[in-house]
Amino acid sequence: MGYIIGIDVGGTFTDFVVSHPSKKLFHGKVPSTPRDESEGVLAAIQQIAQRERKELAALLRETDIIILGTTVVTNAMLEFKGAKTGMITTRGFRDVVELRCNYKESLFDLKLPPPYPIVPRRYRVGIAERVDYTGRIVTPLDAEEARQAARRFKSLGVESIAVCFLFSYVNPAHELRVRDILHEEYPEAAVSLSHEVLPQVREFERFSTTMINAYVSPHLKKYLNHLTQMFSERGFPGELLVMQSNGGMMRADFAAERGVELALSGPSGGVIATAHLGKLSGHRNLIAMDMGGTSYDVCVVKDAVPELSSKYWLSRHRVGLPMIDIHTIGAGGGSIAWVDKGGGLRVGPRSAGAEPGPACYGLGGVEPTVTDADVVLGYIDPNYFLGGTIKLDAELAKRAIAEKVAKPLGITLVEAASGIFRIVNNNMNNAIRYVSVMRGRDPRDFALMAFGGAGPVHAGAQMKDLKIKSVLVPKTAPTFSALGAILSDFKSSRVQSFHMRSTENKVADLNQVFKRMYEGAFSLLDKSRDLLVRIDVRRYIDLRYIRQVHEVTVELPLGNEPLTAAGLSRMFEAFHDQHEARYGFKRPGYPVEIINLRLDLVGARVPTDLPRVARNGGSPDDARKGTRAAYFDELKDYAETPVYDGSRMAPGIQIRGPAIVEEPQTTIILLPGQTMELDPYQTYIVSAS
Amino acid sequence: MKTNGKGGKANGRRAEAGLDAIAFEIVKNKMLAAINEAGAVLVRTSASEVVVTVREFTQSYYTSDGHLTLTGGGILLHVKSIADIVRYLIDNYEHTIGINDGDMFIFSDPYLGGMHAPDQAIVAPIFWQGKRVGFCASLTHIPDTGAIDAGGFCPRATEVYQEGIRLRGLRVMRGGVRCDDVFNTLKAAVRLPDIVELDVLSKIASNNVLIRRAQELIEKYGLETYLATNRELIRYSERLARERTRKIADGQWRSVTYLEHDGQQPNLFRIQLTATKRGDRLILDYTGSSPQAATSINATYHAAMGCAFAILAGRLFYDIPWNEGILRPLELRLPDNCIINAQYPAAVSQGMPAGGGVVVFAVQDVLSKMLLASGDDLRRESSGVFGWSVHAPVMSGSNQYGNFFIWPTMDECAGGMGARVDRDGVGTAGTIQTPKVRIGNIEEYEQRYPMLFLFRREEQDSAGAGKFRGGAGGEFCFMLHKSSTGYIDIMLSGAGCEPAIALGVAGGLPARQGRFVKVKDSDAAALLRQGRIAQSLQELTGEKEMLPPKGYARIENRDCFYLAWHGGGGFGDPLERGPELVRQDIIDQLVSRRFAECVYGVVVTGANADIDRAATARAREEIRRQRLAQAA
Amino acid sequence: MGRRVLEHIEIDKDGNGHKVYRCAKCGTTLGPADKGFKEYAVVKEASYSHYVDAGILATRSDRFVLREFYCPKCAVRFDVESVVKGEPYLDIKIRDD
Ligand SMILES: [Zn+2]
Repeated sequence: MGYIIGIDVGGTFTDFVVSHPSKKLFHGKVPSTPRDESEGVLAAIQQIAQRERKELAALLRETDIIILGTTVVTNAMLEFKGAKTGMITTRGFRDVVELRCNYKESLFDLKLPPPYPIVPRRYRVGIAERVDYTGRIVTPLDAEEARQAARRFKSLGVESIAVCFLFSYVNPAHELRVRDILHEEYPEAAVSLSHEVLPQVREFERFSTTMINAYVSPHLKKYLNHLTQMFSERGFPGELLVMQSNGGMMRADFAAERGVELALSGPSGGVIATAHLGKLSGHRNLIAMDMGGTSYDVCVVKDAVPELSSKYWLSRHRVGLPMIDIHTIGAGGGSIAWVDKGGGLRVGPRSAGAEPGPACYGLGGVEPTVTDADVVLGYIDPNYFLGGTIKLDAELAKRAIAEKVAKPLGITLVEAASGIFRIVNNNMNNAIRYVSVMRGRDPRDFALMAFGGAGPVHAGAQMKDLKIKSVLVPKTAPTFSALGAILSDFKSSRVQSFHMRSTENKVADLNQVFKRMYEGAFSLLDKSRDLLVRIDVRRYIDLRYIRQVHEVTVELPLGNEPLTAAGLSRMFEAFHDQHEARYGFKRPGYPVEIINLRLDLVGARVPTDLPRVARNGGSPDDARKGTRAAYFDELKDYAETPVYDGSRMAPGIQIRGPAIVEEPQTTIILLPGQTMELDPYQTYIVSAS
Repeated sequence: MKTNGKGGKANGRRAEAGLDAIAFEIVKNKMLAAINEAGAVLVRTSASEVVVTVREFTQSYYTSDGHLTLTGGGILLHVKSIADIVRYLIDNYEHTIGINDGDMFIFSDPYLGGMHAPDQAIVAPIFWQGKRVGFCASLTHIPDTGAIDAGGFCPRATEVYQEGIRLRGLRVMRGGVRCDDVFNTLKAAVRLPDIVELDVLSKIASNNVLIRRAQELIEKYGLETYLATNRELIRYSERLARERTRKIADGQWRSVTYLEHDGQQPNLFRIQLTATKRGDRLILDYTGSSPQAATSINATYHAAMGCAFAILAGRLFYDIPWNEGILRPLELRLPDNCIINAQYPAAVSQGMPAGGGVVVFAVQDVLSKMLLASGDDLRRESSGVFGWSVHAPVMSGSNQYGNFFIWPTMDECAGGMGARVDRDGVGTAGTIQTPKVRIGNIEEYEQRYPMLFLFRREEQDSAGAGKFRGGAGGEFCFMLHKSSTGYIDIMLSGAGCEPAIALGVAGGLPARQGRFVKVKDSDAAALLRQGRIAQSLQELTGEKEMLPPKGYARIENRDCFYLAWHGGGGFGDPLERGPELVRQDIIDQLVSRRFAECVYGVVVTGANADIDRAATARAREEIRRQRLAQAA
Repeated sequence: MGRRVLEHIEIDKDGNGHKVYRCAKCGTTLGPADKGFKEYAVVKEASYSHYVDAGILATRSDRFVLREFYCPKCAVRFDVESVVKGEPYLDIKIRDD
């Protein structure tokens, strides 16, 4: 057993976390190299070698696996720098990705242009072939047309081709045949088949997901091949693994073919770490919130497993694969507070960004922001923002809020600042309600895990509004995605459309499909078997009342046992109950239909133990570094509030609010009555009064 | 003449006493979140295509005396009229059968509110500690009303009595308990009892969300803050709406749109709108519009009002909380016995999309011109008229499983957006009045209904030309496939098939008309077997029958049905369009070379569509010359 | 610059201080502002059927017309109406005081 290295490439820093059976876990960071991510990755490995006082080759020889979170896919979609991509569809349906089922991101923003066409109409070709909904071939494939399309794409310099036929998820013969033809005519081209990328009914979701896969995979493949080669040349005998959007990891060579599954590679690690640290701290149900400068991300961990969703949009293009369910709204430290013409105080969605940034940055910003309010309220120390790396100007913050908010509304400066603070909290809580209440979950059953520079400043007030009992703030947050990488397991997720009504008896067919899905998923894990200690099979079925259009996903008992008729009726019962729990009513006895089957194969590795520090108790005074005036709504006034140095906090020390704890990357605000303790896994636990 | 009363005097800027701006913002946002949550419950539980895909639903909050304070949902057409329903409920039942905690009342009478009988609202009082503190309501379009025609649009109807069951406040929930007598009565009256029942349950679930969230708000912020926020919301929206109205140029604009068919035969109805803007008031006067029809294309006052509200809310007041406040600057004048203010018991089931539908076009047309004459930031809001063929063909019959189905197709809601003053409209992107409409996937259609589609795509040359063009409209064509009876019936309820009503602005051209075509005894199936998928009507043999915009058609085995829907109107003179933009559209096959030459005066050559500069200059000069040549 | 009425129509004062319509594209004075600007434009009116060949419209009709209004000098198109034959011009009155 040797080193396990987790690396997460972020926009600014490339983070790493290293574990070894006989050594203490350690982490660090190097600057990212956006032009070529692999340079930053290599620099990270070099730094690890240095810390271990080893030659690079020696370190790599002793390394079992390297797990990577990458932004290559995300960036290709953000900057639209994917491969030149063509699309072959069933004749008559090349505009599926243009009609987009008439989806609109912003209902009344008539100025919103159409999404960037990653495959413009001129590169979308319809050819003769047609399969009906039962899988019967209505029109045979015109192989000659497929050949012509291949030659045309070749002459146009198209590098990657998405093949998207109607009902290919029922009968893939034509897509498979076209792949052969493309290989014959144009072997250099990358090919993505829609029934392989997402074998699921609803052509818009399937075509769009396949198109993205075709667009991002060639660059990803080049990058991963380059890394694999770079490591093996330097003596690395182990496996390069990559974080996928579904919260698990996969061998790099498999992942390279399915770029679209890496869209949330980085955040995925963060969510895994959330689930893991939450579990260690005794919280299996968590809502993770990450409050940055311009955006606020939330996602849900239920029973220590991150929730997945198939409703994702990537740079305004639809991805229908199950991915960790991150919900983002425009709220953050840079969100601008303003008074509208009706006399209402609003916060966001406009943001001051990093430049000019909040007024207190002194970079010319004059609009008051959430960060300015946090400064005026005494929550952020202008001299210790981000560990003192940026000096803030409190006077500029006061002036902006006074001029732009307090004066127009005829209220005091502190009323205005506190108002901004409460309104942005409310907006963020609505995002939390969106991922919890809207899905039939009660936020009170969850603990909040707060990240981001501004997250822990606001979390204490948010938990009060949401009636949440605990907030968790992990000290390890800054390298969370890399930490999540070394904690993650192999995971292969499969979806397959399968139609059956509860009045039909097709349980044998259903088992057959599950078996095929299992085999497909297993083939991806098989090569990595010696790393696995256990393989879990989780199966789910999407169900609805006949004629409903949306489904409820019901989980089957763990394992891979074939379903019996009795097991199936138990599942229908479970559906009725879950429908009632979610929507307030059920219709027992009314027929139900199965739409999709889902299967997750999780290959568990030897668990990585996180270091545990014993609770030694001790006095809060050991960590106290002074006091400052901070405003608390509960007191309707400023109070001289003790300030603690996070780096001097030890497990077991209890602090009672009002209090401020300063960490290098963030500040935690405790409201009067709230208490906080650092737990043995370096996670602060804030408890409600 | 029916008017909505004078838009009262503007209220002062200062908010309600005792209500601070911060509490107001927080409670307002929480109410909005509750409305969205209730909408999600509706969408996820309903069985109606129209609710789930088209998003034809509305949820809203009212004061205890029936004033709309906040609304949301997928369709803007209904929000105003439900307030009238709530007031009807109070006036008629408060002191008779009583309005108690846990009660819910069901309505579907177009003469009380909504657009037509399929629009079904459930209204519930909100109680706090034994006292009524407000109302909430959820509305959806149900798929059948038991009318003379399946689906509830009734070309044959001449009186509202033939248009299905009309409900005037039956108590569907009593003290929190469901009233099976009402459910059973309603189910017995319609063709799709299971779906209608599920839709009623969905609306009850949605109202329960609205009630629970309101009670949580009261518990947390106090009853006074909740009530004050509701009152203030109306005034707040009014202030913002007046402020924006004031910025529009003062003046008077006129627009005329037409209906070419009365549901039974070709006819001609005129809807004339004179818009007068003065200070912070806007008067929409329909004097001069045609008298009401003997058929069902009439709109009620509520439908006409709803259509006007929808366009103003979507185009002008999109960022202001939607409630009665935004209507206060507006005065609507509708002559009596008019096609858009029909008198009971006129038939009105096709009033939306017919009579009311064209109100949508007329209001957009005047608004675009008003904005163009206003200051720079409003000028940028001007655009060509959005495509919306108001077609809604309702298909019904037996599906491949032998079950009866009713399917109101809504693909035409993916119209092209109007061109803007500085860019092209977005293609197949949707309407203003139903912004959340989704169109279904072909794979879902073919799984549910006995059809096989030959194509669904953007239509070449469908957009209104201009310096900036409208977004493209679309077209589809299907044949029957695996039908258990060998036919389906289609009820057509369109407009804008003869008159071009997706108008351009400032010299931009209108988008093409929409079309319904039936191909009798086509060879589509034989072609498919031979490996050919017909991509145009020309490629099909068989008699091509241009169907009327309204009426009935039967599609049998071997027949094909074709529908083309509107693109958006163009902006500005097409001769001012950059030749390279025209070339790009040619390469993407959105514009044909012939259209480019005739309309844009742009000539391209070769496979790369290279611009022939000299020929282009000559073509444009020739077009100018012809324009000034003495008209015949 | 005068007061914009449509993209290429504005109301301005002439040398004598009288309000007139001008073509905003070429600057030509069209005529006094006491009548509608359409009175001064070159008007082309043709039934829908005339527009089907070029592909502008899809369905023939002889009772509906497109009515186009052009600058008599530079031939830019000011406005297009889509109306029944015989419909009076759809006028615009802007208050500019
Ligand atoms: Zn001119």
